[in-house]
Order: sequence, then structure tokens, then C-alpha cells
Amino acid sequence: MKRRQFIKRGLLTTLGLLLLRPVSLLAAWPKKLFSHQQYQSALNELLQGETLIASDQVNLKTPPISQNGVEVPISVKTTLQQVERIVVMVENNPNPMVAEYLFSGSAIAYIATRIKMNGTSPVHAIVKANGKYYGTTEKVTIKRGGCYESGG
Amino acid sequence: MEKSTIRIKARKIADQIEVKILITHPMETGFRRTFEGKVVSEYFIEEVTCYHNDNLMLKSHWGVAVSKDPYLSFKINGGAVGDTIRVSWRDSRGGKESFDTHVR
Repeated sequence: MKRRQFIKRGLLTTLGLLLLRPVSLLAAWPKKLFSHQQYQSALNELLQGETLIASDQVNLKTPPISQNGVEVPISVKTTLQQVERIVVMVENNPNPMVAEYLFSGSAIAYIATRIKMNGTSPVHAIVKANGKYYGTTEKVTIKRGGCYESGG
Repeated sequence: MEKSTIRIKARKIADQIEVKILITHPMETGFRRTFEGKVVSEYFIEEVTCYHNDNLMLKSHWGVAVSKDPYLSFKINGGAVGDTIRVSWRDSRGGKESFDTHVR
């Protein structure tokens, strides 16, 4: 019994100590989030019951048309304060979750990258700031898909 | 020493540091087939971390939809020429690499 209590306390203390550190340092690769095959279920998993607020303070830059979906340049920036996280999802991809970016220290809430798109689709940028989720969407038209292509 | 898969450009611009990263990696989706019709199994970078003088700035989790030979750019408030920027990645097969450079 004592041994069990000891283990229990040890676990709780460890958990407590972990909780005190910045979340972004600890977060592991969110396997479940990446495994969803529907945008809505991936979004629900991300939001965990919170609502997504459409916001023009989230700026998602995409090309309106891309010749192929192998390398679509995107960038996300926001004027929101206390940004913890930026998430990018492509609604019509086999797995809509593309990437998440967790910010800490003096990092500015901005990222630019290149993503694969299986076809024409809305692209969603979701920003978690001050515990709330804000999002914006841009449609990108793809002439040729990027997920099944060589080099894709 | 083998050439790093990571290339970093870090420049001081006004009161910010702009970091541009290029990583050489196949980023296989697991959907692609070879000419013979064999499925190429997924193989991709899962996590990228970026440090500014040993302070964590950005931790990023990627899926297979980040393009082959990934590009990532981000910015830091403040900082100075000569500061250290370190970038590390870890992929779905346990491969990893780390590389650092100085802000120009």
C-alpha cells in the first residue's frame, strides 16, 4: 500500500512539474491529429470543444491557382497577441492536418512553408492565441495533385 | 564530415531576425507508387525545433503534406548579429540531425 502511494505521489509530482513548464517544450508529435481523414473530425480534435472564431486578424497568404500541388507556398501571420500555436490544414487532402507550429520566447507569430495539395481545396490557418482559436480560409485551385506524384 | 541536410540563413533585418531553413528530406507520403506499382512507404520529418542562443523559439510538428525538401521560415523579435540559431529535426524512422549558424 505504501509503495503504491509512493508511486502515485511520485507520478503526481512529476506531472505537476511538467505542467509548470511551457507547453510547447513538452508537446509530442500529435499522432491522432495527423491521422484524421476528414477535415471536420481533425478540426474537432484540435478544438477540443472550443469554438473557432473567424478572424481577419489571421492572415493566410496562398497562390489562388497553382500548376501542381507538389509545392504550394503558403505563409501565415497574425496581429493577435499571445500566440501559442499556428495550425495549417488542407480540407481535401487524404489527411487534412498539415503542420502545427508552437511558439515560445521572442518568436514572432509568423511562418512560411511549402505544402502538398492533392487537389483544389480550401486551406485553413488556425491560430491559438490567449487560449482561444481564430481562423481564416483561402481556396487554392490545383491543376495537378501533389500526394501521389513522384517527388510529392 | 558529411554535408548537413540542413541549410539555415539567419539575417538581422531592422529589429528582427529572419530565419530561412531548407532541409533535404524525401518526405514520402505513403500514397506514392513506383513505376512498378509498389507503394513507397511513408517517411517524413515529424518534428523540427529552432533555438535562438539556447532558447526555444519554435517547435513544429509536420505530417506527410509538408513538401519534399522542406522549406520553413520564421522570425524572432530582437536579437543581434552573431547570435546562434540552431535547427534540429527528427523523422518518422528515428533519423535526426542538428545544425547551427550565426545571424548575419
